[in-house]
Amino acid sequence: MTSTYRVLVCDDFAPLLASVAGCLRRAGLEVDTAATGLDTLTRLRAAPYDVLVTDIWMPAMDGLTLMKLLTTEFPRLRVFAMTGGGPEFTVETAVSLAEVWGAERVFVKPFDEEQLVQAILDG
Amino acid sequence: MSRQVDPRSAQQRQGKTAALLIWMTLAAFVAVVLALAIHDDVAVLSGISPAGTEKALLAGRVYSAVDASGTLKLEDILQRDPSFFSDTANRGVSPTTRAAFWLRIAVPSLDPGEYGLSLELTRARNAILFIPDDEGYRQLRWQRGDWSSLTRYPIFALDGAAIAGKTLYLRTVTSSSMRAMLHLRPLQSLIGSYSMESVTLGILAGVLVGLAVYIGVMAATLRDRLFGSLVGVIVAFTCYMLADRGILDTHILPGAVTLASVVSLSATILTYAALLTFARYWLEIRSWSASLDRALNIVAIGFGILAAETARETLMGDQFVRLYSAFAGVLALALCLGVALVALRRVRTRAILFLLGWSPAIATAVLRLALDLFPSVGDSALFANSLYVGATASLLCYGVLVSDSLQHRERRLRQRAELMETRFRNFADSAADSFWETTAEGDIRYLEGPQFIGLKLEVEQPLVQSLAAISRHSDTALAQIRENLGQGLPFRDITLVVSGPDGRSREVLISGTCARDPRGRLSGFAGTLVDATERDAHLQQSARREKMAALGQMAAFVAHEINNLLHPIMSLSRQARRRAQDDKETARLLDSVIDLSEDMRDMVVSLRSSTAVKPPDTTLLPLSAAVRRSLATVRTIVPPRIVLTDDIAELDHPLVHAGEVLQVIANLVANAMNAIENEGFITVSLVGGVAPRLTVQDSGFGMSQDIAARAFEPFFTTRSESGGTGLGLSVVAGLLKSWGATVRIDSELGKGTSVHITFVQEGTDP
Repeated sequence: MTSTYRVLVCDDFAPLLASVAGCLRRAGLEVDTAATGLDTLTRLRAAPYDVLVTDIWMPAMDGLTLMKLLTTEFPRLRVFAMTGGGPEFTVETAVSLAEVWGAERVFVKPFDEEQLVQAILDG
Repeated sequence: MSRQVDPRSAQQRQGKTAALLIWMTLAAFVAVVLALAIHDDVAVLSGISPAGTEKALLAGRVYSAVDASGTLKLEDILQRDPSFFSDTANRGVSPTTRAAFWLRIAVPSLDPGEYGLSLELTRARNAILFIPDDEGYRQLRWQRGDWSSLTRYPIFALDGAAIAGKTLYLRTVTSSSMRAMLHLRPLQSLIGSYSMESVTLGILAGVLVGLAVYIGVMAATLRDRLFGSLVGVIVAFTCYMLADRGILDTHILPGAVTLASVVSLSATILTYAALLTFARYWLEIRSWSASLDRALNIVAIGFGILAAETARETLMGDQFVRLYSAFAGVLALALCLGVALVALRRVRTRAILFLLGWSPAIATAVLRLALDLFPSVGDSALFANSLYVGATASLLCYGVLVSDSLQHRERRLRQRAELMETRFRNFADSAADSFWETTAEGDIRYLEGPQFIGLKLEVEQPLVQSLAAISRHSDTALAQIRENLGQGLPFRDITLVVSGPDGRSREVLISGTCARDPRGRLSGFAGTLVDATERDAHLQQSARREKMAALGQMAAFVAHEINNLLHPIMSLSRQARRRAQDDKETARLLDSVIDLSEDMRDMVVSLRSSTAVKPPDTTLLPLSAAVRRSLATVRTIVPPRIVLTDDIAELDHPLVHAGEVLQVIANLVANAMNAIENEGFITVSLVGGVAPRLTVQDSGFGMSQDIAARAFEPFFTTRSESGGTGLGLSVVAGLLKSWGATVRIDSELGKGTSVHITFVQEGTDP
């Protein structure tokens, strides 16, 4: 494979992070992980990525704030969002927000990871 | 450099300037008095005014002279005549107690008949008229206070034939100034004129005394200084008038010559003192310049001392201060006028009324002055006494004005009392369902609103018995109410079970407190009735609502956590299932895990929807319909204290997702509800046109410019303490962006907020 997507996955829940990252790796993508929004930002600034897969509701810096920063700083980065909703707002709200702020697609947990892989490869 | 002027300090500065002006006037006055005092030929008063009218028989025929020693006899005068008499009738000299005033009167030829010669000098002590006859000179005498010649000033009845063409001499001694009018006219005319003058003065005195009593009673009842000072002016002026016009020592206390002299001179100066004090209170000087008020007070006290000194001098036969009392008068009037002019800028209405009130007195004073300076203007007795008429008119004006101001004050007090009563009743009405008052005996005296809670209570019935008649199982409570009423003790929130009009029993809370009269005696009870049935229902309802909200939050949190866990479980199971293609048993087990996980996911979804979170409504609807459907949902969460109204125009376009519109409206209405502390309103309106506009307006506490500017940032919240996350409006912003709509916030602190969302139709510029 001459070129493959470099993907950064961000979620504060480690088992979920491992599951998603593992699936993407098995699909042949080059995957790095980050546990917080801040960590994600640091990594994105350090090395070029093609795709970001991020959770929406995380402590400290959440995915929405992260996405807002990204749209200005990394306009060519493709973003996919994952959400399980949260006590503060509904799944529907998060989905509509992520879409508004440029997520290519939002996956509501639990979701089929193969669909995520497919979405990344389709782009 | 800052050039702001504090109005208070400017006012104080102006007040100080006015005070300075007054002190300077006072200093100038003292300087003039001193300058006059050291001048020998002090032209204080003297003279005769033979008026230039046709009737004036003596015009140009009278010459005057002063014998300062008072020792010269007629023989000495005849020897010195004519050089002794001046050729003018108006020459002055300062009188002494001894000084005699001589007049040489050249009588013209007269028609036969009786004539009267009057020297209208009310302060004359005695007068001797020398009439030439065959044997030399015959004397006619007039003595003040003498019962044989009881007129207010010297009058001599003469036979026309006996004096026609002859030269008469008149010697008089006076206790004050030597300024007077000398008249020779037919006796009947003189008697008429004299009577008219006396009657006029009598009527004026009567009016003034009546006025003084009326205002004096008000001043005493109200303990009002303005009224008191006006009474001072009236009393002092009346005394002055009665004494100065000779009424006091001729008609009231015949022979009280010394008393009249003292009263005449002192009362003049006391009038000025009272006038200054009245000006202080009338123009409310203290409220705008404390220093000016103090200065005027000191001047008024100074006048009081001057009055006492004048009285002393008159009694002891001295004269220094009393020579200058006329100047004191000029000073006092100038001060009053000056202060009123300054006050025009502060208390405009009062100052104008002040000047208008005194205008009759001022006008007649000018008239009187003109009479003195230009005798030709007239010589009638009424004219000479016009000042008294004018001053009385002024004082009557003030009597009317202060009486009117009293009525104003009373009206204001009554209005305030009524307002307080209304406020009190409003308060009681809003705090309770019903409000009652009883007499000290416990009979209902006033009752309002028992019908609102379906109670049959009536005025003039005993409270406890009335309550007993409608209540059930409340004997203990009634006993307690009866006991407290009996002992005059308040009671609070005693629960009664009463039967309402529909036959259902209701819980009513009764509270009462004892009312006392100004002397502290028990005058009755007042209290409230509150329907606790509905109140309890309200409390339960809102508690349930709060519980549901907390549960919803909890459910959302649990859902999030479960979804996070469920995701790897399902992913890993699917992965394992793919690897176990060949192992049928393992594959079946993993299928079960996946199925159960999916059941669990569905369960989480249903848990969330059962706690009010519903799946998104993706129906496409016209904007009007979507807004209306959203309002129907939102209305259920608006508490009764807030009135939610709508004004929705009928629009076919744009088509929108009903769920998205619900999110927008729910968020905006929730924010509006949070901004309304107590009662208020929220209005949702939609107007059509090229760019339809949706507006959510509230009557809440509003927000500042910078908060409004940041309102749509995610995680910006003003309610972090109360659990706000700051995501509501950012959700709205996101949706609006997806619709291509724009948003504007109009808000002002304390005046509420309006959020306007403008939709841009396709094919038009935003």
